[in-house]
Amino acid sequence: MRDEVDARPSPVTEPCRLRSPRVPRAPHLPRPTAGAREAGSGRYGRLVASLGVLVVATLVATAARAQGKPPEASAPAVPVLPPRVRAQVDVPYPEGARGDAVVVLRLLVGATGSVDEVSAQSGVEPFAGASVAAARAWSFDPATRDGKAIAARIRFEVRFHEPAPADASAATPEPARAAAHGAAAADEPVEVRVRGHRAPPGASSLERAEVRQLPGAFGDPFRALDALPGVTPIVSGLPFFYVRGAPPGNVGYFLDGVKVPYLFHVGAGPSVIHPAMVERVELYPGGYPARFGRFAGGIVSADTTAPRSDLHGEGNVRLFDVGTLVETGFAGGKGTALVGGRYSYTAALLSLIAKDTQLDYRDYQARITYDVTSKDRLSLVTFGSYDLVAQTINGINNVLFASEFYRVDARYDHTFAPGTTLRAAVTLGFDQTRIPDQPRNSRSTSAAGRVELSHVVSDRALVRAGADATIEAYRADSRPYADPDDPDTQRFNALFPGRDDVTLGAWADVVLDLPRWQVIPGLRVDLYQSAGASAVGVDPRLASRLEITPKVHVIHTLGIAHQPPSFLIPIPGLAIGQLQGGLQTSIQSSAGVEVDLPQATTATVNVFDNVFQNMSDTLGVTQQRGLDGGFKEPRSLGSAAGAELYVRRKLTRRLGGYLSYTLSRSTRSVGNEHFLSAFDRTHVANAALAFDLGKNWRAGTRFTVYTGTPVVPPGNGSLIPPPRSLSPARDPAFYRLDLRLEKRWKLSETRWLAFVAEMMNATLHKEVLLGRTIGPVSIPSLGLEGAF
Amino acid sequence: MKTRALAAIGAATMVIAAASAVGSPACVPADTRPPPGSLLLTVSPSAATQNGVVTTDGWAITFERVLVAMGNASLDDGCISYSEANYDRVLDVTATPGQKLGILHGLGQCDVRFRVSTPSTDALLGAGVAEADKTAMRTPGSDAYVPLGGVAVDVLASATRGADTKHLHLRFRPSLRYQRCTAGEADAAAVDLRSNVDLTYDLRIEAEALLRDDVDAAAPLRFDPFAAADTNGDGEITLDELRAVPLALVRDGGAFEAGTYVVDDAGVLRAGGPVAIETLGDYVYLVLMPTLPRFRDTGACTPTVRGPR
Repeated sequence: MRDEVDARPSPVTEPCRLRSPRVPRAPHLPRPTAGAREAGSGRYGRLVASLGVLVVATLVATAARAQGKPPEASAPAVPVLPPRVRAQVDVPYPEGARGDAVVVLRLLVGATGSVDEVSAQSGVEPFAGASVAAARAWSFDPATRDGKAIAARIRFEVRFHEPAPADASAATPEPARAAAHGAAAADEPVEVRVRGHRAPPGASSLERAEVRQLPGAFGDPFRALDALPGVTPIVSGLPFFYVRGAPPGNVGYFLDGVKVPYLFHVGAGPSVIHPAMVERVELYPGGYPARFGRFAGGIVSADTTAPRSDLHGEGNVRLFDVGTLVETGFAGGKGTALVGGRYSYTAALLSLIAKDTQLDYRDYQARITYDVTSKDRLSLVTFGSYDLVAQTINGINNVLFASEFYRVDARYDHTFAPGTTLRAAVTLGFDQTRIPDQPRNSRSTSAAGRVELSHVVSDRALVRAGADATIEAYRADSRPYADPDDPDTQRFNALFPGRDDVTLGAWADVVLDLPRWQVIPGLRVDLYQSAGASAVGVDPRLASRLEITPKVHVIHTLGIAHQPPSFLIPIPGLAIGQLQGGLQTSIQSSAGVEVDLPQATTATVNVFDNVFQNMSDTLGVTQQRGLDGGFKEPRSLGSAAGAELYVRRKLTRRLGGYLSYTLSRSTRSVGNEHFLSAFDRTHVANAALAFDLGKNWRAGTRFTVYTGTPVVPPGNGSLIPPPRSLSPARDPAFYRLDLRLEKRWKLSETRWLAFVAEMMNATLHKEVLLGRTIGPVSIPSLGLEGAF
Repeated sequence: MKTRALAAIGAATMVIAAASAVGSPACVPADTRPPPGSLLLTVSPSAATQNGVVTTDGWAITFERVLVAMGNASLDDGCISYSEANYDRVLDVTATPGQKLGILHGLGQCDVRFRVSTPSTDALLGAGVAEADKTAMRTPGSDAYVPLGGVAVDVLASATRGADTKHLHLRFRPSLRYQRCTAGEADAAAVDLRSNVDLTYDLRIEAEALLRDDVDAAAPLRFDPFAAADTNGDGEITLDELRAVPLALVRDGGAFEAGTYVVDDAGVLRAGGPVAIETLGDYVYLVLMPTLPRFRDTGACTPTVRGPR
């Protein structure tokens, strides 16, 4: 369900193209002279602004369907009209300015026709500022889809021409003006791209604005992933999960295409990326696009917000941490700079009540973009995270857990033509983790380069392709003060040898928009080299969305994915180096139906069937069987099959909610033993409701319930254990209730302040996991949030 | 304008650089703890276990093999533990004295703990021990005291008096955790680990303890009751045969009375508990076998039965 759309410049989805209706010229405006229309000819004081709707309008439909078909597929069936200027839109020529200038604005035109957001995408001061200030008062006939008013994001070009001296003297003391009159200045039809963002076939998408309303997610898009269908939690509150039977180590995390080693502070805390920087998060539970590879389970891909040149920011203060993010433009809107981060003062708090314990986490994000030309953009993005848990005993500080990672991503984006773009990027990384119980540090340094090309071949075909290369050097300190005979030490050394890994990959797919049918065939090839071993993964992918009726679509995904052996959970600087044991392989398939229901509600039903070969799911096969610190890598076969239901009405609506249910069965085979995965949960259900109480009060509740894990037959320790069963007894089911209450004060059109109280597991319910009672794990959160 | 743009880029770059510096690499602290002391635990046979012994009733006892699966040595919370030896070994203690059990690192005064139990899959093999020995000890089995479990201690001995020769082969399956080790002084910590000081403590295995009249190390050794248990006269004395001998018949000296017992928190066997000790087999299996390990010659550790592994 998507009420708004954003204007990501991403060419991922092929836009439909519409001829906008011509907008009548404002009658009171002087018709520009020929000279005035010529660039740089400004001979008269008032001039012209040829205001064109330049493009890229992202139309969002207030009534648009969120999980529905992508814009490229829906456009031909759903007539979309762009916003049209309703009244005169003048921009005064800035006093004291000189020369001609061009400013490109990004406008969000709301469903009422008002300009809800405006920023200068390019242009110099003082012209950019003058344009932004003027644009706030503009009024439009809103865009429509299927006759219904919808919000739309568009780019607007304002051209300033310096008044000619003669005219200036004649006109003095009135300032020169540049008139802006929407499409009226453009006698030619205007091209508009419709970008009502819809998740690619088979993917689930979460937008930050909506996640903010989800109880138990603490406003964090990544923490909301466990509410999606196909996701099976390991334990309540711990943000590591199985995805359609694939263990946490087989789920890859990406931010703007950059691999992120893990998402959450101290394993279970807030995410390592400030939520305000995340536009949306998409979960690909299988059959994902060819762009993603090297993970055999699922993909979590987050997109950062588009750069904005207007000064804006967001901040929050909570019980345990404070976070902020600020972005502004420079160089007349050609450049943007963003800085954000989060700092935990739990260390200070804990020092008051538990002086011997230290819990510390922090992260940072920064981004600079600069439009060298209208078609070339340079970007530098960096982010990082640091966690520390330590305890002081007898005056000696013992680090129990510490981890950090840092990324710097330098990008160059070039637009050859509308729909044809190139991104070339280089990423540098450093990861490090203190291995508990060893204790020693394991680290990796990496350098990666990638090139991605997107090209619109025709109205029916979009070709995407890319290649990348990664070099990762893994090193671990020698274990201090250790018994050299300890098998744990030897296992660790064997499992995580110092080495240099090289990975090369290339991929391509085609988005074919056939009548009523979108099909995306793709292929990915990866070459892995690690510690003297090498392997090749060839991953064909196929996704399809077939329109049965405008409101009913049938979706299929099919894919093969390969991955080097993986550890229990993703840990920075720690990756198994046992490539000689072969790649993990998964064969993923799903089929489903998407239905747009009345009241802006969507429903999706999927069935899936995944097969895993040679998987290194230590977590799923060795629970209660002696993990030996987890430094083992038993290979197994696996399968997972099930059905998913997802009914959703956007949580940001006055009354919104969703129901997510997964019925699944996940099995493993080791040798001749066939058994349920240690974290197989037959039923996983989530239901959430968010409602507007009026007077800017908003409340939400979420109920989660799932089946207990299989009970492993009481073993004889390390003796030959009795075989596990495919129909074992189970631990008791678990449920929890999350609550959220928010009071918001709107300080101005763009500024607001909110008080948020949230409680995960408000009923203090305990969970039984693998025979042991845990908890209650409940997380309260009180905080103030604000934005400008 | 260009100058301003460059200045802005420079400023923004500085911001990013500053942000990067805040979280500059290598924030994860290095190990700043002071150097610990180390404790090497070794295992040796008692003189009787290694060289044989003559009992008070005239039997010459020779211990041919004494396999003990032991390890997982650790320090308690009384001191700062730097590293433990979370693994086990299968040792034939008759093979050679001073076999390594594990190395512990730490600082301070604390207790030492270790375990005697069925070997793990990764158990290391001591001198004279073959993989087949470990496999045999890991093979699940049962006896009157452990319904299902591997073997923790396997004792093979022979006894000769005149022309009579008897063979004794006993397998013990319980999992025992030893703690509260003392070398003599009751309240003294088992070990005092000081920075850069390396210690070596020996755990002595006294197989002859199986023949004692009492748990006291000074109690006399007698083999006649064992020889008498060989009712079928095949020369092989088994646990089942020992279990057929009422304790009252062989302990008429009053050293130990049949009854029901319990081991209290201090490791002392007290009457009135749920454990029935009525036969010689019960007495050897439940009372004497846990006393095999000695801490630093004359010391002792308190065993706790943890059930089979």
